[in-house]
Amino acid sequence: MTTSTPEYAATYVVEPAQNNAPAPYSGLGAAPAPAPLAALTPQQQGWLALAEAKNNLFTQLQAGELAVQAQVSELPACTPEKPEALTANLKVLQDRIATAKKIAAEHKEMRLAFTTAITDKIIKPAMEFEQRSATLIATAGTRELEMRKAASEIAQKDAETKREENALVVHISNEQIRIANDYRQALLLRVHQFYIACLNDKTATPDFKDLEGALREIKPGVMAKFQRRLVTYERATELLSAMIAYDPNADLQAVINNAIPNKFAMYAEDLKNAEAAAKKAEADATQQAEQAKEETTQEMAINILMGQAETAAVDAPRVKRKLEAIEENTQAWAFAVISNFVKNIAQCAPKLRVKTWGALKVSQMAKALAELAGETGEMFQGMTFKEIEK
Amino acid sequence: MSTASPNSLQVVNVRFYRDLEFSDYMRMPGYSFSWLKSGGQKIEPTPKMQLGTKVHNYLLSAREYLHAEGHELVRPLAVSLKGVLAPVLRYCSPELAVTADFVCQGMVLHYKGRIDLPVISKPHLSLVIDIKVTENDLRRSIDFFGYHNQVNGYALSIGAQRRVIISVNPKNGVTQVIPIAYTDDFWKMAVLKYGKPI
Repeated sequence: MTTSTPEYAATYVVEPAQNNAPAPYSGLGAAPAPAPLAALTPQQQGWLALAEAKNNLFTQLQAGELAVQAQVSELPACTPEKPEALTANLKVLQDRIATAKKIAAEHKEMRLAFTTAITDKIIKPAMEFEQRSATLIATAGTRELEMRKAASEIAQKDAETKREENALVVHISNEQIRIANDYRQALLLRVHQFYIACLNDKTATPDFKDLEGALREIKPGVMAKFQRRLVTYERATELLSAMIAYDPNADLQAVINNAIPNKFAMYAEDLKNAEAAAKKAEADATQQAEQAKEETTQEMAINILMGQAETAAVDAPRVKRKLEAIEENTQAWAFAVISNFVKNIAQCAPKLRVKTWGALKVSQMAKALAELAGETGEMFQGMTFKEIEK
Repeated sequence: MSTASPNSLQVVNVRFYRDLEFSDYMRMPGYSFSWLKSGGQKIEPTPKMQLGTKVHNYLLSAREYLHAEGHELVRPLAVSLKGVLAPVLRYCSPELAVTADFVCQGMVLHYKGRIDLPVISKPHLSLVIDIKVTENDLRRSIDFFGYHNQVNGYALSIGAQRRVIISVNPKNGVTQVIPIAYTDDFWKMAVLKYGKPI
């Protein structure tokens, strides 16, 4: 199979391995043979000197350990039955311990002189890289939180606007239902009053033109105002125009064309027993009005329920908020934490992560109380909290 | 005269059963949504399902709610739901059992359902309300469990023009109200799969 070779490969020439060449250091096999000191760079020589210093130190530390061992091994016996020997032995042991401590302290000084230099010259400078990176990442994280907060606020405002839009739609719908019902009932009441009047007056030929004129005088109500806070006038107009507008003329025509003929369908017969017919008509009208009112209330109630529906998912980046106890570093604060923790031990205990109860710290108690305060909104005497956003 | 097309779903022989104990409802013949979903397998209720049942019982059939075996969350969740449902509760017939025959393409399926909160009224006022207790976003639960098909089954059986699912989250008591669109595809398929020839 022929393969194309990248151009840059032509600049390399791979020589066959020499039999006498040292094997490359793999990190696992034998270490490479040491280069002559003169061939090393000053930096390499410095590292070599460090290794030598380390070896010398370890030799000295080992010698120190042996010296300590010599002082504190083969300890004198504890002989309470021989008080004089016990006193002498105690003096000997105390001297030996004092000597051992002195040796150990001297060697610790030696070790510190070396390890402090390592810390100052190697560990701390090495850590500075990650510390600088951490600072950069933290700065970026702060910006990211700021952006998440902004996105979250926008999403919340959108959701609030959407809720207000829903409320506006429910308001318009319910107002239309109310206005329509009131108008219809006003028309029907007028028809009913006319019917009763005709019966009472024993009118042989009711003047329907007169009734129609009276009906046309009745005007539908007006919509109650909705207090807009977030929805713009343009959007409100858009929402209103998207809804089916109430047509009072259709109701007027329905009353003229259907309700009046229906009401007077048995007028001639009713006239023959006018008083009883009027009484029955009164009862029917009352029942009809009550039923219409009930249906209106029901329709408005369903509208209110459906108006609570979410029309859009709020899927904004989340900003986590939690409480953190402000540490006061006073005895009173520590006592307040301990006291509150003990009072609320049942709720706080599950929030603790302790390996040994003996190691439980006041700061851990404060952390558990802060978590509890965040969940329940409860505040604790002698403690203050700040909100942290993540 | 009915002008329904042969492929449309028709609902006939509708019967309501008010105040029917759950155990009696379970013994009634008929295909319910739960049965169709599980293929007739008995599902052992999980603790979360048990909590949902308790909230249902406390809110909808208080007679069946065992206060002694209650859960500390039941009352607050029922209160949250009641806050949303308050406007319509007086029009509802809680835990109404219903049977009906669903007919499609010459096949008939005997349906049964127990509706949380139906409003039986004139068509434009009729409504099915179903209640769920879920930690998840309700939209996800609807998609995952097919609750829209359950609610549409209820709505078909009582002729309700509007359908809505209301959920409460047991973690924070937050409620969600999701209106459900009409679809009868699931029930047509059920009639064809499990129904009998007329």
